[in-house]
Formats: sequence, structure tokens, C-alpha cells
Amino acid sequence: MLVALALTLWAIYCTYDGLGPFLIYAQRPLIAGSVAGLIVGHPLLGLLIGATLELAALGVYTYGGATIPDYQTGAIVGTALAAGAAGETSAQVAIGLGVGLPAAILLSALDPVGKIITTALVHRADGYAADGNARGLALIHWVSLVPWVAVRAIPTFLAALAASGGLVKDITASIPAGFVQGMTLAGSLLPAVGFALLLGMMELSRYWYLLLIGFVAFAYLHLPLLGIALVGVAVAMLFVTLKRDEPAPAVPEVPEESTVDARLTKQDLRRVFRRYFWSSQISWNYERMQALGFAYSMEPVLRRLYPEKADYVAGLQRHLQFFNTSVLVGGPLILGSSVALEEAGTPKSAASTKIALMGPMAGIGDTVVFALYNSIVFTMGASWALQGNWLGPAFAAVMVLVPYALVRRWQFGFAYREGKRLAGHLAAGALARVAQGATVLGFVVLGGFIPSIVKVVTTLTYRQTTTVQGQPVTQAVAIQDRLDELVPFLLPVLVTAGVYLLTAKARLRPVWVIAIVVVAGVTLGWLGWFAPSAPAKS
Amino acid sequence: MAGAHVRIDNRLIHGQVTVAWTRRLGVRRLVVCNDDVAADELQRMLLPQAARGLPTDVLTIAETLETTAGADVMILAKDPEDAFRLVDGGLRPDTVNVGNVAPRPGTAYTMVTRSIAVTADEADAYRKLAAAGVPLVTQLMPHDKPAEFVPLLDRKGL
Repeated sequence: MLVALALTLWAIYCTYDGLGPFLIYAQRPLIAGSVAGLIVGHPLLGLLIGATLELAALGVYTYGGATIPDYQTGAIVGTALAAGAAGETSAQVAIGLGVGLPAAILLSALDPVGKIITTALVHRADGYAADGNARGLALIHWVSLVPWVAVRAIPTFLAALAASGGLVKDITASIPAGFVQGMTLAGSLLPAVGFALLLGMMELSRYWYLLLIGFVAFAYLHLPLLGIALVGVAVAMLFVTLKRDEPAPAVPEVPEESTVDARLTKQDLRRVFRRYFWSSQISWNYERMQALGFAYSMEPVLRRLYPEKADYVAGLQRHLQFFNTSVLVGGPLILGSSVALEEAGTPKSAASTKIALMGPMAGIGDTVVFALYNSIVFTMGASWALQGNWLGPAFAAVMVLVPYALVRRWQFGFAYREGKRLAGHLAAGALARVAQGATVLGFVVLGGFIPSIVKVVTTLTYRQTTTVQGQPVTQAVAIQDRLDELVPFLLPVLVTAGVYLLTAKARLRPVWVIAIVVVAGVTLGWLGWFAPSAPAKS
Repeated sequence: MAGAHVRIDNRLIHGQVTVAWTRRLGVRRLVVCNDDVAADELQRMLLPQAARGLPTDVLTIAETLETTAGADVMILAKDPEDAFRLVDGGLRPDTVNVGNVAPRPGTAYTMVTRSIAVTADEADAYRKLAAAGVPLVTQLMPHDKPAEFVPLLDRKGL
């Protein structure tokens, strides 16, 4: 019961973390699972289950509010049930994945429920805004967190409670060894799904050859993942630098800086940023998306600037209009420019700049954050976690905590200082360069990640009769040895390519692709034809 | 020749478009089509940068109608009225997909799906579009099932 409560609290924090502060990206399965493992007293299980789900979900983030599988709950629930299961670690992990994956997919059905409730709540916020009632507005904003949290915490609590009984042990005691073998293989194939989804989001036809750099670095030169990432950084810098040597697009004229008497105090600015940092999208809803979070963040500035109630109310309503962008890269920039333009006494251009920026910044921010930076950081973290190393989740958490906090603060300050000149800076093509550099880095790194993380070898052999000193000798020859002589890591590459074709060309839904990979993995592993790694040579 | 893909999306270029749709449809060029946006210097500069390397034009409706738009072009229209003006002007798109249409404050709207608000005027525009013989569907993400849009309007009594 205590454990179930602790897991529920953890689930609540994970959900909140992914809606506001993004301190450690706790809703990612690597983090959610690893800490769940600590809570249930089986840290290794949490690491292995969290990391496997993480790799299957690379690049799977919510774009513009689309519902995705609930891998957070999958990782927590899977770990909790695995800890209650009978057998060795490999059997427990097999059960954890066998429960966690379907749970993640099925529970995604609850996600819209939470978002529908917050949609109803935002209409109450409209009423408070019309009255100029800041307290009411804040209350609705924070109360909106409840439905978001409930649809994840309640299933977690129920599953954790079920896991604490002896029933799980009884059911799982009779799991055949072949299934465990099969599920282990399926687990080591699942990262291919994540990589394939990621490749499907990137410009493969334009940059495919960059994959070769990473592949050669790993497969032939045996560089560790960090080494491959450093090679990737160098190649990305090269691309971006070469591009800069091209004639730059004409930078449009910077508008005259209007003289603004600073009416906002440092404390006002800090308060705005703090509100955005800690709660940017806790009241996310289908109709207005992040609007209430934005209005709540702007409120201290509006109160300072508009002593007349009518102006203040108009300000709140202005910022309660539909808003959605990337909250890590983009959101703070837009917030800073909105504050500057409101202070400059140009509320009209505050509103129009916001609208102009939110779409493009969502496109750029989502790409850089989800498809590129996070994918690289979490792949490295998960690969270490799969070796049972605590550095894995710790590395991912630190690489989220520090850079994202700094980059958000910088954006806000930069946009506020630059005010109207911000547009000129953004127009110079800097954003496009950042996105391109990150794409190049992503491809190089993926080329190395795929063979190092998708693990599969064949254990099949064939009989070969050769003549040794006039005597016919029949030997069993491992097919894998022949394959390795041809091209190292051929099978992982083929599996990833096959999964990519299923997702990108055959256009199967990710859920079906995951099902196919799991069924194929369990079958082939059970039959003993394939395994994650070669059996020890006798 | 197959026609262009038209998406009605008031957020224009964003993650759903760049990450999911452009790749799924295999388009080689984006056209953002709206008279106000084309007149706004800031948006004209920023939108192409958000397109992740895909050549992007920000055009007025008249300019869009002058360009040749085949199956390798995705046109982002800001609202149904714009989409209708394109079709009225002679564009024959492959499909018109209604993506995101956020409610505008101060209008009487009905949420037809979670991401699409429709006013009475907009409902007329959608019906005129469908009456022009253009396949009109709503499909937020490529893995969602496309749904015929007019029956959704009927169901909401619009």
C-alpha cells in the first residue's frame, strides 16, 4: 500500500513535470521507469524496462496536442508488476514489458478525457478575465492540472495495488522459459521502432549518407556513443559554417527603437518568467491550448501597466486567445517579446507578433527539442541504462535540467531586451541554421546508435563438409559468423530498415508496428533462431 | 495531373505539418496562402524558416492561383473562406483537409471536432467547398482516420 501510494505520487510528479517545469523530463519512460524501480526496491528492473520503452518511443512526443501512447504510466506500471513477478530478472523484465507496452497504448484512451475537462474549465477562466479577477484565473489554471494528473495517477495506483498482492507471483510463476527468451529478443528489437519513427520525421532522402559516418564510426572503428556524438557535432558545425559563407539573405531594416520608459520592475519580469517556467501548459486544453498559461504568466505585467480596470481586463482577454507553441524553445521568446511590446504601449503589435511567432516557433522548437536534442540525449541515457548503469537516467536528467533551464531564461531575457528588434534578428536565418545543424548531428548519431542499440543475431547454423587431410569432416558453421564477415551489424540494420518501410512506406500505425515487432520477436526468440547476442562460444 | 494538397490550418506551419504531413505526403514545396499573412513582413520572413528546409512561399490568394500547384505541393490555407476562394479561382486540389481551426474570441462558434471551431459563416464556406466537388475531409495526423467533413457539420446542425 505504501509502495502503491509512493508510485502514485511519482506518477503525479511525472505528469506535472511534463506540463510545466520540465526539470528532468520525468514523463519520459526512461526517467519514470528508473525512479519507479527505486521505489519498488528493484532498481535494475526500472532501468531495463524504462530504457526499453524509451527506445521504442524515441521521437514520440505530443505535437500540437495529438494523443500519444502513455509511456510514462506504461513504464511505472510495468516496473511495479515486474517487481511482483516470479523468476529471474530477465523473466521479470519480460513481464514488465508485456504489461507496460499494452498499458501505454490502452491508457492513451484516457488522455482526451483529461483534455476535455480542461476545455470546459477554460470557459470559466473567460468569465474571471471579464471581471478582472486574477485570483479566479490563477485558480482555474492550477485546478486544470487535476484532470491531467488524475487520468494517469488513478490507473497507476490501481495497477500498483494489484501488483502488491501475491496474485502476480502466482500467475507469473508458470511463464514458460521460451516466452521469456522471446520477450527478451522483442525488447532488444523494439528500439528499431523508435529509430524508424525518428527517421520518418527527418529528411532521410536529403541526408541519408550522413548515417554512414555514424555507422562506420561504431561498426568499424568501435567508437563509443559519446565519441560518435562528438564526431556528429563536428560535422554539424561544418555544415552550418559552410552555409554561412553563402551570401546571407538580406536582413530587413531594423525598425527605429522607440524610447520606452521602463515601467516594469525586475521583480515583475522575474514573476512573469517564474509563472511561465513552472506552469506553462498545466491548463492545456483542446480549444485554447496554452492560452490560459500565457495569460496567467502575463498577468503581473498587465496589472502593472494598466491601472484602469477596463484596460487590464482587455489585456487579460487579449492573452487568453488561442496560443500554442513549443514551451522550451520558442515559448519564452514569445513571452519576452509580448512583455516588451506591452510595455512599449503597443498592445496591438504584442498580439500580432505573438500570432506570427507561435506557429514557426512551434515548428522549429518541436523539431529541435523532440526529434533531435531529446532523442540523442535519451538514446545515450537508455543505452547506458540497458547495461544496468545508473549514469543513464542521471545523464538524461542533467542534460534536460541544465540546458533547458538556461535556454529558457536566455530566450526570455533576449526577447525582452530586443523588443521590436527581435524580428530582425530572427529573420537573419539563425533559426534555420540551428535546425539544420541539429538535423545533421541527428543523422550522424543515429547511424551509430542503430547498430549499437538494436541487438539481434541469428543462432542458426548450417552443416558444412570439408576435406581435411584427405578425411571428410562435417562442421556446424554459425551463419552469424558468415554475416559478420560480410558486413558487421547487418541484421540490426536490416531490421531497422524493415521497420522503417512498415512505418513510412506501408504507412502502418506505430501501434501495429510495435505489435508486429513484439510478435515476431517473441516467436523467433521462442523458436531459438535469433537472440539479442551470440551465445557464449563453447 | 494530380492536384495539390490543401490543408486548412490557422496555425499554418507547425509541428504537425512539418514533422508528420510533409513527409507523409512527399511534398516538395509549401505554400502558405493568406492575404493578411502575405502582407505581414514578420510572418513572411519567419514561416519559411519553420519549414525545416522545405522551399516555402508565403503568397496571397491571387499569387497562389498564378503558380502551378501539383501533387508535390502542400497549400496551407488559414481558413475555409480562403480555401474556397482558391477552388473558386480554378485550383483543383487533390483533397482539402481541415486540420486546426481555433475559435476566434467574440464569434459564435461550435466545436465540430476537438481542434476545429466553426461559425455559421464558415459552415457556409465549407459547404460551398464541398459543393464545388472537392473532397473535403478532416484528418489531424496521418495516422488518424480521415473523416468526411460535411456529415460532421450536419451532425452539429450547422
